[in-house]
Amino acid sequence: MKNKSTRGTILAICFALAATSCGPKIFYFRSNQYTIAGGDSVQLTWSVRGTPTLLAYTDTAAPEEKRPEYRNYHLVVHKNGKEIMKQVQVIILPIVSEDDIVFSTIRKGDSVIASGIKDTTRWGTFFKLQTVASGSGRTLTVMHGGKMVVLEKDRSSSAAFVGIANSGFWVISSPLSDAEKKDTTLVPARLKIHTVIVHQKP
Amino acid sequence: MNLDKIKTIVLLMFENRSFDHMLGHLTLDKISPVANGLQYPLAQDHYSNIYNGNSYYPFRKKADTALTSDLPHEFNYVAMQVDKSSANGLYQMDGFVTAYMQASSDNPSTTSPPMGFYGANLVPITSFLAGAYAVCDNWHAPLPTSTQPNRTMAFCGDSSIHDTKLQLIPADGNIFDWMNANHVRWRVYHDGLSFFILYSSLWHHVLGPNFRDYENLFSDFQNEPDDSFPQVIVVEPSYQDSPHFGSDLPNDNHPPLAIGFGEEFLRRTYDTVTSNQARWGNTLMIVYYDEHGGFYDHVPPPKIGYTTKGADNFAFESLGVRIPGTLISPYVKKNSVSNLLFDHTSVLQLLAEKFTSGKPYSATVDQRKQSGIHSISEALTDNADLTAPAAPSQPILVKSFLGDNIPTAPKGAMAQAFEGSAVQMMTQMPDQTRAKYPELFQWKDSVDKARGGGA
Repeated sequence: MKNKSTRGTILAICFALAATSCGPKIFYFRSNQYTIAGGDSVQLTWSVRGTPTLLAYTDTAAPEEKRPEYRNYHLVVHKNGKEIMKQVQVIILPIVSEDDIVFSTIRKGDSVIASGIKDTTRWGTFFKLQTVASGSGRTLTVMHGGKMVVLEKDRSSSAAFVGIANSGFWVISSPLSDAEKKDTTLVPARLKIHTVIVHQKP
Repeated sequence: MNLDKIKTIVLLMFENRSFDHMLGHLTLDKISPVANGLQYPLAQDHYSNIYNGNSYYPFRKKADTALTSDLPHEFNYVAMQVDKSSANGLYQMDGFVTAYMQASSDNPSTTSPPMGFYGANLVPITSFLAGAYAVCDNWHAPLPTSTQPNRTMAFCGDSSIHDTKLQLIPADGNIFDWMNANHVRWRVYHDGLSFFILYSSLWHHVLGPNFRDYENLFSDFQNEPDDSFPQVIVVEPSYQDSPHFGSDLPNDNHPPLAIGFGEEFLRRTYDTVTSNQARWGNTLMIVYYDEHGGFYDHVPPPKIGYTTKGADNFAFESLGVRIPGTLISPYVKKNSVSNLLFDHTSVLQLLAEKFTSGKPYSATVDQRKQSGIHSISEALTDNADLTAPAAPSQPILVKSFLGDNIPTAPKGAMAQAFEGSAVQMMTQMPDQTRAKYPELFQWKDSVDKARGGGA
């Protein structure tokens, strides 16, 4: 019994020492939405070791930066005289706004192809496409949400994807010009489409 | 220029910041309008970094605070950052956010740390010196990789390693042996533990009389006779990754450090170098950074390759990312911009021109010269302007959290290397180490107690 009790005491002291010698830690700090529109709310969750303080402030970019309005949430955690911080940034857009979708390219045969996933973490599923247009000054074939459309290089817009979320998988392709076939340094390293999106929350 | 006019060359190398991050504002704010910095609009395709279908642009930092973590800058991440396009073979400089997001657990943000840059209000001394003297806007790290290989290139002209980790770093061709062989008077002034302890073959120098505490620099500049005063001075800040004890704080600008500590160190060093008018009249001070540290820069690195020496045999295709470089001397044109292509071996070219009558520092340095890398001497002028404008005297305030690294063993490769080298040096050369770095033994005692007996 005495041995058990001593061992228990030692363990308790070890735990106490370990607990007091550790610094603060943020296991996670996240939001259920990272891009919202007016009137929307976000839910922040966290798991930490230490004493958390949540700071919230609205920030605006300098005029020359042309970034949207955003709100920063800083979770500051203190423990044993130390302090750490992690940030969540929530972007606040108008109900109707514009956004570019851009991916890096590869060459395949006589085409250049760009594909990837538009960030679902940042955008969620509440921002729906209204129109899309070529943002690369060239004709683009675009696939998204099970549909395909050809966008003319003159930036004329298409409503082919109306109602589909802007996030998710995109494939954009374009034929190479004769000059690009001869000189590969002229091949674009990225393809871009310009979108108009609307916030639609059920 | 006639290099006989330069009697003392002072080298001050900071850590881990890119040109645009520190000095991109020179162009934006019209301090040096012709420098190749950032230009409006910041939200332009040319600056856009792509991550998950979104564009990220440079943004002006609003305060000097510590970052939440270091930024990735090992060779594999640098390759991601400079992003050689598989479509056209050109460096896009658009993968800094991707590298950061892959290396960190951060939430998505339009103010992603690699894209932040400082204005003159937050880097007043760096900005002042770049604006007042000659800023070099085409100075690249020699290799597209991390600290240890780039510093080895800087001070040896070659490298037998391609990444940073706990390892033995050969110092073949190092400038200390080279200067001794060529009868050059030299000294290292270190504010904390010297970086050169990472090279065990240099410990006899590190623990010798040519390595002096930084606190002696001002007095030596003021009082030491010319015939013993060093011709080459290496000034070392206190490194973020090295062991610290008591009130000793790092000031090398290595993230996640706030920048203010390094600004204060730079101001103090500039004040020292200009404090003795006669000595200032023939001094050249070079302020540069070992590498970009993961911060965004918009200029692609030139395709000048290098293969590391010996068994390492690692082939790099290009120089590294641009770093901030400034030449401070009566022998530079005030408020000028040099767009000559420099890397750290440009300094070694200069030393060879001055001290060995043009005989190349080494075959590698000469080869790099033939590839288009210029000597620092080409940015100097014969017409001396002895005025030394006073640095801004404003208080530099930093809001920062600074952990100590005693209770837990460091996780980063550089910090592990510093700690491992320090412990080895204390074990193998205890008397010399005690004389040079007495505080290390108190630090070791604290480490042993905090970690239950094992460092």
